[in-house]
Order: sequence, then C-alpha cells, then structure tokens
Amino acid sequence: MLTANNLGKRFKVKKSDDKWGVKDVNFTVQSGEVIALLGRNGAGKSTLMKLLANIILPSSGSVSLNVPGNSKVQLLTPAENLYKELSVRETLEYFSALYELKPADAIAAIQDVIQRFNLSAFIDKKVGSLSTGMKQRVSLAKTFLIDPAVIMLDEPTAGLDIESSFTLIEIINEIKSLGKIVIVSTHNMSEAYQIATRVLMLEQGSLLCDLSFQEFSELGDSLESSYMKKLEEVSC
Amino acid sequence: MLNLDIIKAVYAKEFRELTQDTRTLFIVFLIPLLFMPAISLTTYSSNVTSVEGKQLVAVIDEKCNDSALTDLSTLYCAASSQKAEVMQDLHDAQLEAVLDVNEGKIYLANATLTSEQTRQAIEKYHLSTAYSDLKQLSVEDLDSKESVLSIVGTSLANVLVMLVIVFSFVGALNFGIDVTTGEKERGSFKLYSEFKERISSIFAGKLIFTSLCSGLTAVLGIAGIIISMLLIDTFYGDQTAMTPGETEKITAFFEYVKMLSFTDIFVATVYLIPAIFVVSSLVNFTGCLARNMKEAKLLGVLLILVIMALTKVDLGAENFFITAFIPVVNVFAGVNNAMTQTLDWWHLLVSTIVNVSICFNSLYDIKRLVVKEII
Repeated sequence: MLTANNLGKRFKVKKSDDKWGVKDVNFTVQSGEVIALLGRNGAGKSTLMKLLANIILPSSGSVSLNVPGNSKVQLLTPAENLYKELSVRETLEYFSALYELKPADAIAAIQDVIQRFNLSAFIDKKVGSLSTGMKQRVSLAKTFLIDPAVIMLDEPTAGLDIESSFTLIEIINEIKSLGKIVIVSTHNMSEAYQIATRVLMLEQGSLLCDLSFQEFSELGDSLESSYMKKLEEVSC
Repeated sequence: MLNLDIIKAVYAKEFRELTQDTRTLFIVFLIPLLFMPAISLTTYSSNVTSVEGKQLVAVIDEKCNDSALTDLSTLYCAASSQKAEVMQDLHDAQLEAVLDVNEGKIYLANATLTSEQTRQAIEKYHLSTAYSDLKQLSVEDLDSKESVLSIVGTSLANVLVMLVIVFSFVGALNFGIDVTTGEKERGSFKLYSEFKERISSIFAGKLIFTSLCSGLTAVLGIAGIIISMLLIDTFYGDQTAMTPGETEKITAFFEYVKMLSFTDIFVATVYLIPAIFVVSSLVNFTGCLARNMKEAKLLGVLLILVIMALTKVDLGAENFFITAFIPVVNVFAGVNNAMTQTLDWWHLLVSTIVNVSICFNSLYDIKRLVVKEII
C-alpha cells in the first residue's frame, strides 16, 4: 500500500513568492491498482512522481510504502536514455552494481528479469540495435532488478509509434498482473482507458479528483469530456 | 562515502563503451604516437635553445678585448689568477665553456651539449684578439655530468611536465567531456536520478576512467617522442640534413635519460599522477557545468589556457616551498627541483595533498551540479 500524506513541494522562485509545485496531496493506492495521473502541463504530475520515488524531498507531508520486504518505488527510465553501446547483459550488470546488489543476488536477479521479460534471445545484443519496444522491456527489466512494489511511468508513450505504444501497454498490463502498483502520467486518454483502474487528476499542484476509472468515465460522454468537465469545475 | 564496487562498475562500463567507439580509440592511440611528437620535438628543441642562451663563456685573458666582448655578450673576462675559480664554475655547470687565451685551449663543460653557436663565438673572439697567434685551438672536454643535469635536466623537467599536462588535457578533453556532457546530450544523465546518494561514487568511477585514459594518452605521447628521437637518431643522426646542434640535443637527451635514477622516475611519477587527476577532475567538472559539447569544449580550452598561464609562474628559488600550494605550478617546481637539485619530501607531500584535495573538492562540486541537473 502506497500512501501520500499531505504531500507538498515548494520551489523557490526568484523575485516572487515561493511556488507550490505540489500541495496537500493525499491518497492511498493498493497493490494491483493502475493509476492514470492526469493534468495539464505544469500541473505537478512529474513533481509528484519524483516525490513518490524519493528523487526530491517533500517540503511538507510524507510518503509511506507498506509492503513486505525492502521493495521500493521506482520511476521507469525512458528507453531512449539507456546506454546504446552496452549489450542487454552489460546494462543489467551495470545497474545491479549501482543498486548495490551482492554478486550472487545480482546473478539471480538478472536471470529472473531475463526470463520475466523474454530477453534471452537479445541478451548479447547492443541496446542501441533493439527496437523501441524491446528497449522498453530492457528498461523495465533494469527496474525489476530490485523487484519494486511501485512502478511509475512519466508519459511513457510520448513520441512512440503505434506498435511501440501497443507493446508498452501490454507490458504495463503484465506488471499489473504481477500485483504491483503502477502509476502512469499521461495526456493520452486512449492509453488511460487501456490500463487504468483509477484516475488521479492534478491542477496547479493540488489533487482535483481521485475517482475509479469507471466513475471518471461516467462524468461525461467521453473521457476527454470528463476531463474537461473536471477542469471547468475549478475554473468556476 | 565512496563505494568501491560502484566505482569499479562505472569504470568497467565506461571502458566497455570506449572499446566500442573506434573513432575515439583512433584518436587515443594515433594522435599521441604520430602527430604530437612532431609538435613536442619542436617544443623540446626551442626549450633547450632558450636554456642555452643563458649559458656563459669565460675568457681567461689579461688584456681583455672589450670591443669583442661587447659584440658577444655571453663572454666575460677573467684574470689568470682567477683560473681555479673559473674552472670550478665550469665543473659546476655555471659556465658552458672557458677559453684560455694564454694556453690556446678551450675547456668545454660537456662537448655533447656545446652548441655550434658557442664554439663559433669562442673562435670569433680568439680571432679578434690582436695578440692571437692564429694557431689551431686545442679542445678539452670535461664531460661534466653536472652540466648535463643543469642544461638537459632543467629543460627535460620542464618539457616533460608540460608534455604530460598537455597530453593529459588532450586525453581528458576526449574522455572527460564524453562521460559527462556526452551523457547529458544522449539523455543517459537522467538515469542517475534514482542514484543521487551514489553520485559521488559514480563520478569517482568516471574520474578514474578519465584519469587513466589521460595518463595513457600522456604515456603514449612521451613514448611517441622517444620513438621519434630514436628514429631520427638512427636514420638521420650522421647525415648533413641535421645540424650538429640538433644531433647534440638528441644525444644529450639520451645521455640524460641514462643518468636518471629509479628515485628520479619515481618522484616524477608521484608528482605527475595527482596532476593528471587534477586535470581530469577539472575537465569532468567543466563537462558537468556545460550544457552541450560546444560549451564543454570552449570551457576546456579556457581551462587549458589558465593552466598554461600557471606554468609560467616563477616565484624564484627562495619561494620554492610556496609553490607546493599552487596546483600545476607545484608539479613544475617539484619535478624541476627533484631532477636538477635535491628532492624536497615536504614539498612532494604538500603538493600531493593539495592536488588530491582539489580532486575531492571537484567531486563534491560535481555532485552538487549533477543533483541540481537531474532534479
């Protein structure tokens, strides 16, 4: 279970008052849920994800993760940021060292993710020579080296072609079936429809709505109109 | 705290990436081995010449020819009664040569190092004296080791340090910028966002990689120069295409190298290794500071200009110890002193501490920059 309790992040802005990137956000997510994080550009989605992944420290509130073992919240690396000159195996070995896994644990973890993400046929190929979909698998495999409880993806299909987007959505559904919490920041309603069980909508850093996907979709004639309706509520 | 396993993993990863990049490998091996020697030979040659220009020639002559002395400013006159002192100066490499007009004899500190220009100057003086009997002057070579130490040692110490610094810079600019700014441009810098507590270890690995590559570039560069000199000496040493001066410099170089003891080489290495790390850490720092490759290269060039300016700092022999506190200058002063006079262990220790501190300080600054960048 992942809980955000009065979570907030204040940024210092020159020549003006400090700005809250995220303010008083409260929610609880259970294992197996897939959250679609919606909101305008600059609404605070990326900041919220960085707070949840402990990349930045909160100015107020806290994040707690209540799961068995030492699982972590992991923000998925965009596939194009991986090292193109390294092979899949070298990439996994490198990150297992950065995660400070012991040699025996690293070997076991690498074997596990190779099987889980069907990478055995590509294990000695350079990452740069793989398709975008395969790179996404490598990126996920890298994240699963430490078997995280929560996986977060920041606009994962942005810039991807239809085939790669489809592959990624399949992968997200696979992760969901493993009982992990998945949080996906997106502007793509079709993507949200295919993966999400719940919608969190942010506006100016505050949580605008926290609804099940079913409830959200029933707000309007389409997902887009539901979204606009929620935004208009704030404007009024 | 630095994590050794992460440092090793980062080093191994950078090394694997390097071996995949044939263009960079080409630059690493061929530029120092083929291109740089040509430039450095010129530097060495001009440096030796500049040192030669400071050498003095004494004339033991009761009736000193002042007009000839005015023409040849490197000559000075001494009375016969001062001959013992003058000869001692010659032994101590304070003088390059002595002309005893009364005996009709030229004493050379070290014939190998006496330039053609000096010999001509002596003969010109001899001919200009009214009381000269114009008979052939006899030459006595004292073969002074001190002279070799003084002339070649000073040149070689300065040139060697300069070359190591310059070659290291070439290496650091190739590798240090690629592992920092290059990663920024390729987007892989963002991968470190989840490892922000381990940034120092990650960049320590990158610093070690950059330093080893810089050191390798320097070693290859020096090897290139030695190979060039050996080839020139072997194929052109006896030919008229080379002036006697050039042949002498190369002979003197090898004579000096033979005289170097294990301690000399060890001390020079101990001074130079932290210097290579300093150069690499500064290049890594500028690489993290820059937003793109163009900016990084510009900052790198500015950095090398600052360092080259530092090499010109001369605080004088009385302030030798103070140089230990000035990066780059401490290596020049330390190696020069160790190779031509005596080794000052305290200077070596303080210099090493100063240079290592700069590396750690750079790592701290890099961590701050990277954390700011990735967040």
